[in-house]
Amino acid sequence: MTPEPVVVTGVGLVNPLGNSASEVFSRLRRGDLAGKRPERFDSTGFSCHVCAQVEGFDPEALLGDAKTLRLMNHDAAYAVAAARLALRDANVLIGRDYPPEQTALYGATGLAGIAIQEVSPLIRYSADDNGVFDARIFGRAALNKVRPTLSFKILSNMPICFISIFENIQGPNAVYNPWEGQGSEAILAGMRSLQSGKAKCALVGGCDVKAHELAFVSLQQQGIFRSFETSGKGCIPGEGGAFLFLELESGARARGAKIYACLSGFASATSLPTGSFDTFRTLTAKALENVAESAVQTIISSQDGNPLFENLEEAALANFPTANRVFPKKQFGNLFAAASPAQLAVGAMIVYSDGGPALVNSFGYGSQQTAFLLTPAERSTQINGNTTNAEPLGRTTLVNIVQEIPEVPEVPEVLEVPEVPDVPEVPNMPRRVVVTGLGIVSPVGKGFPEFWRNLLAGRSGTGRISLFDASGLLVSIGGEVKNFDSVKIRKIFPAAKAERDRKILLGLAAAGEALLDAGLDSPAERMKLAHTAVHVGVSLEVFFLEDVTPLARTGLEKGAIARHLLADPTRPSLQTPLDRLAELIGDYFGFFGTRSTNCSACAAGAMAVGEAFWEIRDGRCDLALAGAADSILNPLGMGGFTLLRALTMTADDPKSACRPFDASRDGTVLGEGGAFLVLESLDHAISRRAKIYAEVLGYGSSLDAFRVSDPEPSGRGAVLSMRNALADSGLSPSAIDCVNAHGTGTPKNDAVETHAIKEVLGAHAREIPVHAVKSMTGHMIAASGAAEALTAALTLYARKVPPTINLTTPDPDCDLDYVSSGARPFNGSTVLSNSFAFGGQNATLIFGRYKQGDRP
Amino acid sequence: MNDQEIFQKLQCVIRNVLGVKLEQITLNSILVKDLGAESIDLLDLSFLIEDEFKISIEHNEFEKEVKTRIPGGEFEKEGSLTPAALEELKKALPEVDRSRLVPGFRKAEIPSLLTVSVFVRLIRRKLEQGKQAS
Repeated sequence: MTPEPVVVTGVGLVNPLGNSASEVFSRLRRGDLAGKRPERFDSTGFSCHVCAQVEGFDPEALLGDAKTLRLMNHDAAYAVAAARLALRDANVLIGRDYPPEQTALYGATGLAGIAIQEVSPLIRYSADDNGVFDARIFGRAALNKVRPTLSFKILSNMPICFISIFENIQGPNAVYNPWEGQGSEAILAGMRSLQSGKAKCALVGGCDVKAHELAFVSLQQQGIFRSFETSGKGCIPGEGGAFLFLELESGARARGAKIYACLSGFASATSLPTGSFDTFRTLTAKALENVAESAVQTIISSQDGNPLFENLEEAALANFPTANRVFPKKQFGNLFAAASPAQLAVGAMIVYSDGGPALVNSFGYGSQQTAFLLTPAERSTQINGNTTNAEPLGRTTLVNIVQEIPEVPEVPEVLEVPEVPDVPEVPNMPRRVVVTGLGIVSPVGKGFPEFWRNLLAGRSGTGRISLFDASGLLVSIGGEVKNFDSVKIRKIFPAAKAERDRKILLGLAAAGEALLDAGLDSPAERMKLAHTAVHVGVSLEVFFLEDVTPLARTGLEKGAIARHLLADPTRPSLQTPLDRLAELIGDYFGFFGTRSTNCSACAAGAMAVGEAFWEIRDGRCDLALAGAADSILNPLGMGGFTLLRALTMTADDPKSACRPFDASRDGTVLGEGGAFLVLESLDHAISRRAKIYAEVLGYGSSLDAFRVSDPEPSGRGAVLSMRNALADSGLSPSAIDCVNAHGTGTPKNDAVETHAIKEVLGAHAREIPVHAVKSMTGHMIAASGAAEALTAALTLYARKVPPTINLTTPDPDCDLDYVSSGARPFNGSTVLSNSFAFGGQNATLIFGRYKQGDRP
Repeated sequence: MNDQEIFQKLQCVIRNVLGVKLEQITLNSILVKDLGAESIDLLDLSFLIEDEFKISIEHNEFEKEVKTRIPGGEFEKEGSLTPAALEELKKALPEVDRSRLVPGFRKAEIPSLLTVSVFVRLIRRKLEQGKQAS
């Protein structure tokens, strides 16, 4: 069955060529160029000397709410403004035209782009007299000089969370990071949420800030500017936000919306690190489906000035001699995480004004590449709620007419349209998905057998921080991965030999174990798996203060940071892009399917597993490696969380400091680690005789749309997340036999979660075990959702529920059975696992005991 | 600096953080309930007050104050403040709504009690302590 067409009905742009879509469009048509010498910093010393800045942007005029705006970094303000403009353009108010719960929100954010003056106290007051970074000085002198709101500007999921708050969007969601391909991922995820019936409308897009000194440093260090050195040409780094409002065509027609275009085709793939002609050519061909190349009127080119992309794309487009070319990136700059939605928005406006199909290419840095096909929607006039259609164009549009107005004479022709063999067959029955490999490094054990033994024994993994001298911080305890052999990991993965970011090494260790456990460690086995998807969750970037503290003595005047950092080209990067782990895993193991990097903070791990599950269930791939890694046990990470007062300060006995559901709980304890699961379709697992731990039965997500720092007090978001997962699994609430709680040990979370569990499961909530892994591991942030998914699979496989430790004083607000007196046998057949993130993103997974024959 | 001057300066800080109008901010305004402050806003406010008045406000300032008033005594029991701690909290925060300070009150609820006048008095005390110290 062909899914109902998805249409674009609103576009919102904040962009170097203008702060509205119409202004950008008319200036694009005029041929304006936004690139120029930067005003905010001195670009001498960089290989690229121009950038494209957003100008005359006044978010307060558009959004009001000065209180919330002050928490936002530029990228968030761009995102929120672009989202508001897209909704306004679509003439949509969430809550009036569509239910908040059925509105999806998928977005991409870029490398954390913070302005130097905001972090300068951290640089100035963290060093000893010789300019050498000292964690104790940092804790005592620097931290109290930065506003606590700084943390919200660095967390990668915040721009999207702010949109949910401003627009009251509560439905399915995720945030991806950091390059262009992840912006495409957001568009595709939104489209799928409509076609699968998870949402009735979707806001999709991205935001990025690259017209800043620190961003330039990162781009230079990431090699993005290399083409300037070899050819004198390259990209123009830009900034801005781009969002599109998507609806099912029937919904758009029913409310008489202006339809820019139908999102009629797409193709996405992972290419070699440099991009490749074959990938581009295949994608453009696949995106077209059965539209002839000659029918394409316009190509929204992906070229950004870098000759490499130019040559590859030109070769791939040899079959489109007559199509007009548009080069938005050469005019308004490369917007990176916002590039793909900006390209699509331009394409939608062109299709609407010129009437012909357009191919939108989004080939860029990072390995995910995508091409979209936009076709014109027939213009309609509303007459008494009925739709009169002009001559239709494009296949998907025709199919929709069949559904709506059966007497239209085109019907026979439509039925004769041949099936395109390349489109994967969507099976009638959803495919079953099973867990066949596990890998984890955690504060309570390295390797899942040790992890599981210690969990069952109720051993805490938290203690005094030993990774650095944390004595100057307000909090000096955490859950560290003990005796982690990073030397060995660097040897196994040579591409990571200079890697400084600890979460990447932890993630590689966990991913390696999961593949080994699944019997996929040998190259011969992996050869069969070229289309394996990789879904990785991470939270925020590590920023190596020690690289810049020598400037504490010499000053931070314009250009000083760049001169210092770029003097030695072999110096490791100040920032590690968040997709680095997915890239290392994918390239090393040879996985060239989807490569998604989910940065939805504490929900990222659960979302990565959930989205991999959907990808397999929908028949888009057979096997996926899904999980997450995180470590913010470094001065800046721990310092940031202490600024937010989310951590417990009672640390007399570190092992009992994390006290989920206990009346005396007063904050969580940070942990770290990596956890990965191998997921595959049941048929695939059986055909290769894989060991099956559990079956994945359901996934759901939601947004609190409340506040960035506090959970919604009624637990609305948590309830919706659990209900979405239940609906996805087809199970009734009474079929849930165990809850693996988010259970962080903060006063608010545990009470709200308890309330939400009771709301969803009713009286049944009191009859089943509810346990908190974090009581032992601490909060592994992005990795926690993956570690808890792994725990849920083991709970079903080993038939035991791990305990919640440190629960000694009952709290009247937390009145469920939390398994506080030690592990116990478990004969149930399902486990529901919750993950709730800072910013209000929620995710729930449901696992079942695998049985041959019927699902549980 | 007298209380009126402190209040006027504080009003500006609160306006900048919470985005409310000056005239909405009175001595009796409860920051959370009346002025819409969230937990992050209280932290930010505390930071900006320190910066504006060149004083230092401790984390859990009022909890610590109560604890010093009941040396050796128990502050919390089963997640709620003990009767002794509640009595001392009433003395430490005479400006707040006493009807909320009943058995079952938790320390996490303290920030939700705070009024503008609590901060005026706190700032004055810190400024005086600063003077004495120097």
